[in-house]
Amino acid sequence: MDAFLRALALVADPTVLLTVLAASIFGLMVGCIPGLTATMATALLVPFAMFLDPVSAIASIVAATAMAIFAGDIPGTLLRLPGTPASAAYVDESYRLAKAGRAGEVLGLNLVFSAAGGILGTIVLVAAAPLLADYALSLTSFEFFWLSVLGLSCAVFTVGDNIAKGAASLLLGLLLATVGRDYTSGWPRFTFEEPDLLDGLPFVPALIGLFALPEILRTVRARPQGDVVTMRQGMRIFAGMGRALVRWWPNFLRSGAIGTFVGALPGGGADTAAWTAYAVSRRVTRDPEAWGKGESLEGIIDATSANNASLAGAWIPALVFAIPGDTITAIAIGVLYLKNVTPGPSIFLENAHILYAVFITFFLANLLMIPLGWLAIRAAVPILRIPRRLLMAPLLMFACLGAFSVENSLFGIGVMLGCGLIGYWMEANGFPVGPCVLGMVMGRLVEENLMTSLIKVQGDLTRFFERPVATALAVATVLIWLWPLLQRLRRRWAAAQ
Amino acid sequence: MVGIRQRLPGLVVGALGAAAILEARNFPTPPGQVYGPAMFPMIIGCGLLLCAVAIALRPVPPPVAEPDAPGGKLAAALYALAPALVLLLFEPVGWPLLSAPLVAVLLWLVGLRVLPAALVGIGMAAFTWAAFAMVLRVPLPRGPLAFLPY
Repeated sequence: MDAFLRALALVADPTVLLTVLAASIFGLMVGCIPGLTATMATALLVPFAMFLDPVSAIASIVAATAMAIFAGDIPGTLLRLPGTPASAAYVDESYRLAKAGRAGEVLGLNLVFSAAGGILGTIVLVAAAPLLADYALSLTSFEFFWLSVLGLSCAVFTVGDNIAKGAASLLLGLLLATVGRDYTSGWPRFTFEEPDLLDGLPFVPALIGLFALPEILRTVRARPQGDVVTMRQGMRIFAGMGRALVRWWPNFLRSGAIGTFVGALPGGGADTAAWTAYAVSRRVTRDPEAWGKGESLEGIIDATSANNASLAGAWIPALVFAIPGDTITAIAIGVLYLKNVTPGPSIFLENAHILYAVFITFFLANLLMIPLGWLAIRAAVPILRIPRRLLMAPLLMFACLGAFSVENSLFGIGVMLGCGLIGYWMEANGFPVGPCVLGMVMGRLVEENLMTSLIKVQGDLTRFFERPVATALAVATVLIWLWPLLQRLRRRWAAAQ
Repeated sequence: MVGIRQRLPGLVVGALGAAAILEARNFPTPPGQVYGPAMFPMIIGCGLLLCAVAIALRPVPPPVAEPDAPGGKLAAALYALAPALVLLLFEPVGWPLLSAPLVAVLLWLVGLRVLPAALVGIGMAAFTWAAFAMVLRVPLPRGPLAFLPY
């Protein structure tokens, strides 16, 4: 209770509240601009977060991402261009309804169900995280090692079709995490006699480079797209919302639960959550005829609830096991480390007030979404008429300044540029960037647990499987890696029948 | 027939894995220890080699890119050069005198007329100076404009 009251006092601080407000507006703007993702919003926020206290820093990330995921629905509905990938699942249906003159209704539903989905996910986070953390305190380095490997494996298998490229991206991230002094012997690894690399590759500039620069280059290169569907003046966005909540509550609960669960899977993320909820909704709908004709709101409600719920879900493994659920929590974990707050089960003992402050911020951000989202919908049409290519030069300057300001060093800009070009090449060749960032964040954790376990077993590798939970996690990891092979065998067997 | 371009990602990943292993072989194991700082990078290097084989043997065409805007490739290349220019001229020229013309040129490249581009460039330089140097206290280089306040 004492920790909760301290957390409440922390969040009630005017600086934190102003930070949440500013980050929310920033998130809404980034989400509104097609092609700019919530992850990019987070990456560009991190240099500012470095100047804030831990609670304000995390609050800004939570608020900006929640807003960006909702705001991605606005260009999706009005332009048929998802503002973030999390809105892609239902963009066609939303646009059809908008062309039929129902843009205000669709955006109102997006807003209300996004906020409600976020609150549902937060309730699960608040309920599940302490219970899991209590259990996690009894785990040893063996379980944590297998848990990390399992998490990273899930990330590889959920980000794309090409597993080898996902794995290569992850391994590149793990390799980048080894740059700098080895934590056991102090030996400098992959530093190439560059003193700036002794403490490791600067995380924030690398992050800005990997996420921001490729998107800026792609936007500048690509042909502008899309015509804005105009909304009727004086349209009431919240009209009929009460009836909608009563009618669609089973869909909302189901999709909120799916979103939270998918979000909690490492590598899951808001876009996977939205696609999964949309697919489930389509399978169980009682009105399949209405789908795909611009008549059904069901898929939109399901997917929009799920993508915002997944944001809170992703924080469950991040806070309890220091294993990020998605790239946004990977960045947030990086920020926590830089702020000397170590995520993991001990955070509940050592920094419970920070944790409760994160929970409160989630509720606050989702409640704040309603008025700010309403304003964003009202302001959207003129904003969307600004060609997004014109926003790239200022964003590039912010990226350079962000990379510089973390350590006041030009080296940061060099790292940003190098990582940006690598990220651009990776995406152009079908390598997902997300696993690379997960690898960078989790590399040290995986190596520490591996080395601690190896020192304990003194060469006897069978002891990695001695404890039941460790064995179960190891088996799950192996099964995940064998899954594509098993599927291929099943298909071949079915074809032979 | 699969061309070298489609095999290139596999080759790059393989080269990275081989380089990681070769470099890690030089890391010494501390006396009395079985495992040293080379252990983890070696595992990663081997993993990268396996991935390289999988990627090179079954090359998948890269995702279809969005259609280019007229002059889009050149604009993207110049945008990629901009951080390199910042790297070179940040300290001698200073942030305000560097960022204003740079933003203006970058905006002009994507179709904004000269005067609005110049005005946005100047506005951007002033805003970023106020936000980063004066509010966040980031010591941005002033260049010849030594009178600017922090």
